[in-house]
Amino acid sequence: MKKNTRNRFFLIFVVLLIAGYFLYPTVKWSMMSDTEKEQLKLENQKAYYALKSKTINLGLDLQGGMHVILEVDVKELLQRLATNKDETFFQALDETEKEVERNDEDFLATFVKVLEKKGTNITRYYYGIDRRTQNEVLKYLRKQINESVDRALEILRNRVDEFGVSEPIIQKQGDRRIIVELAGVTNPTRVRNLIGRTALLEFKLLEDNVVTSKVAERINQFIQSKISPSDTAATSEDTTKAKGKEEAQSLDQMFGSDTTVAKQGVTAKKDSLAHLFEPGLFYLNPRDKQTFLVPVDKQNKFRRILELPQVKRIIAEEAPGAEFLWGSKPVYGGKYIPLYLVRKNVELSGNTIKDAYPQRSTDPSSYGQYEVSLTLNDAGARTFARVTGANIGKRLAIVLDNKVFLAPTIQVKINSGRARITGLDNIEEAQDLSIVLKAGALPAPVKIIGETTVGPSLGRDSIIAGTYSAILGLLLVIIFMAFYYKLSGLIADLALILNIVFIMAIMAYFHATLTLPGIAGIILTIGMAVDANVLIFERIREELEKGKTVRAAIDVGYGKAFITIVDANVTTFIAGLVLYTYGSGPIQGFALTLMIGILSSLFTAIVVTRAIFDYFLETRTIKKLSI
Amino acid sequence: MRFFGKTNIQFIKIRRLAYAFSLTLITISIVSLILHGGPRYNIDFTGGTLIQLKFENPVKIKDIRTALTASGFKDAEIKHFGKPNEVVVRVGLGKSKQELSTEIESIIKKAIPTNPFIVDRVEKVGPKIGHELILDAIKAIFWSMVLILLYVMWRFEFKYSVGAIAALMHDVTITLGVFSVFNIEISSPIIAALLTIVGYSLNDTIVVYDRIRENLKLLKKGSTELADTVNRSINETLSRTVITSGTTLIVVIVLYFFGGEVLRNFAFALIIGIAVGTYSSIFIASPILVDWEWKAHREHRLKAKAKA
Repeated sequence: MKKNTRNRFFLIFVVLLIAGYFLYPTVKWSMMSDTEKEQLKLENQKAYYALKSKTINLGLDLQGGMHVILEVDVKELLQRLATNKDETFFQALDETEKEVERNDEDFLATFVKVLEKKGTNITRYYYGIDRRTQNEVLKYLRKQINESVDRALEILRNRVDEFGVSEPIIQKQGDRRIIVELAGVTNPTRVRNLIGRTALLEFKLLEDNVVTSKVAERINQFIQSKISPSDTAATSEDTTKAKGKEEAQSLDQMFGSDTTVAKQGVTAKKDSLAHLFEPGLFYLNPRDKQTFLVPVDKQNKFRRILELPQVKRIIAEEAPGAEFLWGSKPVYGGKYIPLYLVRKNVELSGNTIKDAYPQRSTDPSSYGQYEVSLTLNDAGARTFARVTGANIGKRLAIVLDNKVFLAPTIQVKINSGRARITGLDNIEEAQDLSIVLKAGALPAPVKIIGETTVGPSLGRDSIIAGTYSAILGLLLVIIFMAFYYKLSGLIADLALILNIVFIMAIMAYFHATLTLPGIAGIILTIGMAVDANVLIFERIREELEKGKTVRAAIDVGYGKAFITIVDANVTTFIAGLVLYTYGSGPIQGFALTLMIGILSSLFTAIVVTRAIFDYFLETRTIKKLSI
Repeated sequence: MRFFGKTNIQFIKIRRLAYAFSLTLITISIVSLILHGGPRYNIDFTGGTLIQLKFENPVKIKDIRTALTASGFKDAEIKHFGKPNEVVVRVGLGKSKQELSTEIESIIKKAIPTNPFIVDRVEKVGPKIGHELILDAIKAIFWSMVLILLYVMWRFEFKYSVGAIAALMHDVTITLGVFSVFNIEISSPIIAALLTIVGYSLNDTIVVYDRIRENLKLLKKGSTELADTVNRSINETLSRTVITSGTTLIVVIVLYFFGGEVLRNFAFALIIGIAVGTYSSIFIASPILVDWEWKAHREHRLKAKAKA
């Protein structure tokens, strides 16, 4: 064998060995059952991850999972950080939000501009010791925004780690976005809640029942004065009176005592919000005379009413340090949603929580439910003892993300620094709540601005469809080449198969991600890889027709075709490069297999097939080439 | 086995016919695009929420639509996805409530309790992301064309790149046009397919150009020889062009039929693109090269005459 040929075979052999070495982990991994994998992970975690990092990574669209793009809600953050908030401030924020949605510019910069248009300076709302000039304020705010993204990243990472997904990816993208990628998630809703929850826990006191009753009375009067009569006034009066009586009766049955019902009104004042006002919008819980109950289907209307300036004035006059907060869940068979009048002062906040874990309900009264047991740190425990000691008999609202989870009565001073959040319906709720409380509250809410979730069943189907197409396509091309170019075609076919092996090996080495479009890319490469060989073979045929000897024809064929092959494949490679730069995850997978496939096919088409031809030429006398 | 012996098809002579045919296709494409108000983007670019559900039994779209309309989702787009028990529901932007997908799931679960389903896929694209994706797509198409043409100009001369540019625009326009006529959605993978077509079509064109360059080297400079040489070059590479496109088409057709619903439109784009790309490499790129050269040469000769 000539030296050149021997070298070529040696090179091919070495490359094959390396390819086999690269591919071995993937093969081993795919042959392990799920239990075997679990075992390895438990016994030798290091070896488990080492093995996995050498395999071909399956994309989310093939193994199922979630890919979420989050953005810190800058509007909310600015609102939280500001002092002296006035009407102009809120209006400016809303306007900025609308404008940023349209032209996607920087929120802070736009906010400054909007405020200036309104005649105010941003320093007015963020004044501080080190923050006097506009520049200082802006620097401060920028720092806060950037830090909030970093803190959110940390907190989310803690939450996801606790949740227990294998190999989660949580990364910052740019300076305001966070990417979360979780493979193998079976309950995306749960994950969305876990990620999106601010988890701000606050303990506040309820306003006492004297004040609350007064507020209820005044709001009731206000609503009565606004209810407009209908054309069928007489009949409606009757029916509503009857209805009112009915409702009173049913409420009686439920509560077993008198109820204060918003009664049917009489006056005819009409205004644009008239549709909001109707009887039965809210009730005062007769049991404690401290909780409002709003029928679930009337919640939106009542919410709007609470926003009205007249109602706000009532609250400002009767209960100046308090605000209305909704309950987190409907009660009494899901028919009513509770509404609490809560003092604004935060007695204790969630950042004092040292530990939180879920457990079955320890109260006999809530058997079958679950709860979260909280342990506070020292400072928190002291504050908790003081607050409970000073307010025995009063009700302490546990507020999570501005919704009242529950509001138990303080029975006794609590020194232990432990508390329980009860009334959770299932273990998952308890688990998730423990996770977010332990990891901490997000400094500002995060919005999900993009999401791709693929279920595992679709992933499996995609793998099957992709693999099937690849094998079928490969077979057809192999058969065609064998028929059209005979023995030479078979040589090209061998190169083709090696090509696929090499592509997989390279991907395994880099732990690259194989996506469904990536499989399509491999299939495309199968079709395109023959191109190089076709170019060479057609040339060889031409030269043979011109009368050259077999050896000469092969030489010329390879020689002349080489430049053309490189030129032609470069363009497709450039397209792949651009795609990789600008494409999203699955598309990048396609671009990757396309580029690797082109490089690999250049090698197999030129080096491998040439070596085989040379081998035949040297070891036998070939008078006629089977091509 | 041979499909093409020594052929001598008069590609250059019939080029006017090819131009006419291509112009017709391009006109149809542009008209269709104008009538439809541009390409039909899917939520990747317009933003919105998409849910793909797999029911246990075949499900009627009507039932789902009634349930969704009753809950306020009047403009939901509901389609079967390949099989009668798989459905894709699409809701545009507008309601900026976070968890549209969860809401839609529970609405459908309540409306059709007898036919359980699993959620195969959820895609939610906010307005910013969609906007960015459009920009990225445009940048990608722009840069790939620029880079590839620079490469062609480097390896060949400027006059070659004119034909290449023409072939490229021809291919992209007609592929988009076909999608418009059949009212198929353009998604991110389709843009990827377009870029692949750009690269692949040049592939073919360069093979012919290469042969033209090689053959021209063996001649003296003379304009009447150009047409014959180019024609001969096309004929010589015809076998290779058709076979390579053929093998690539085989695998893409397999992908179309067996690759699953998710890849179907992607495979379709590739089929159209490869077919059109091959056609343009043979009938458009090289003839334009000849015409361009003649035009330039004619001007040169006229100028020379004027001077003389």
